[in-house]
Amino acid sequence: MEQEEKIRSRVARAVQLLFFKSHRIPGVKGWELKKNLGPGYLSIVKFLNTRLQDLGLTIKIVSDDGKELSMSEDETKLSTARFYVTLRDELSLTAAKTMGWSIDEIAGLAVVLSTIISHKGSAPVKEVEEILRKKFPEWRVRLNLSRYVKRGYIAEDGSNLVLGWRTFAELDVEKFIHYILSA
Amino acid sequence: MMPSSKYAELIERITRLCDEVIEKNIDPFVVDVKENLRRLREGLSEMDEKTLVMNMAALLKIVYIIALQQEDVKKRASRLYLDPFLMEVRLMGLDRERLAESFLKAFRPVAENEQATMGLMRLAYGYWVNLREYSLPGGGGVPEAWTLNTLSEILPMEEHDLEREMEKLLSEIGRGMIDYYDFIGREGGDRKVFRALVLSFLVMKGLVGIVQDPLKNRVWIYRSSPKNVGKHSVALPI
Repeated sequence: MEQEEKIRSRVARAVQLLFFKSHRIPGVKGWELKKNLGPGYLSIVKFLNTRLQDLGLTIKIVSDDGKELSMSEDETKLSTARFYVTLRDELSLTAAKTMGWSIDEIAGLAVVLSTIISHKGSAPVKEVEEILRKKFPEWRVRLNLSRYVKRGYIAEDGSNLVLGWRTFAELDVEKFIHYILSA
Repeated sequence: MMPSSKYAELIERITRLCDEVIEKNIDPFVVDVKENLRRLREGLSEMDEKTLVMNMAALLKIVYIIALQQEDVKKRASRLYLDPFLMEVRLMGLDRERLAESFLKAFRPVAENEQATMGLMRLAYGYWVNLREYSLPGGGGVPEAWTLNTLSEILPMEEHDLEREMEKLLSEIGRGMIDYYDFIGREGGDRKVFRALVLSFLVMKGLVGIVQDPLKNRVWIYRSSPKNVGKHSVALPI
């Protein structure tokens, strides 16, 4: 019974760490989970993941270089990786709108990310702006770009734009490109 | 017939090439797999035991190179070797809905909960301090549902209509400084509140900046860049 209570409190702590933003970036690093939940933190995370899946959520692990990792990955890799809770299933356009996105914003982001990816991960700002101008009104271009930077989907790297932490956390880049090319 | 030492030298060369590609992450296609396999096969029957072992080790390296080549082909076929020009053509050929749908299929947003941090509290405090002279509906508490109804009555329009109005107002502002009151009253009293409201959206988005002269009670507006969005709010009477 005592053991059950101990596990329950650890799962509750994992929920707090994963859902509540305590840094600029949401989610929590593997070492932070280990520090708070103990050496067996992965079994707690696995258990929580099965419960979250029933609610349409899942735990996603992303390494420092933006690769998605599985829970069976090497311990050292997991300790520096970031654990996020994301939606498990696809969002409909209507659902995305209720979350505050407009079609133009989503389409603009799709254009920006595809352009950056086609430039092997780093595209000149001017080139991205030029492509956006062909599809969207002039005033929206800078506005949308600064919004994407602010939300972490892209980042400025000198005069270039690169993929940001949120893109790696929220987007399956390979699938996305596949859908763009086959749309 | 080649002496065994010659075979050993040849095998060593192949092994060195493979090692270099594996260790330095060089394009695995610099190794001509077919040609190197042919060389390793040559004179198998004449090799001594030691050379045969070397031959087998070199063969394993080539197998590893084939795996790297396979991985590389996969990458080229997916995202890393997309031609920017072809991608642009593709993007131009898709309408906004199709682009948004393609994005959403691969999009799984992070579930996160904002906490009341010091930064957020400061932002909220700044907002209320700027509104201190005005009485708030419900005595300054959380707005009730009826307040939201009233807002929708002031601005009865769809999002894209609002964007069109914002674009129109933005084009009216031009490059210089414009008097705020002249600007909102330009289309008469009926449209004054509406223009002020649409203008406030432009200010919020950082597309329009405000300069105030409290001594002369003058307010000017100008076109701005979203990068210069201030962190404080300003309450302007209509």
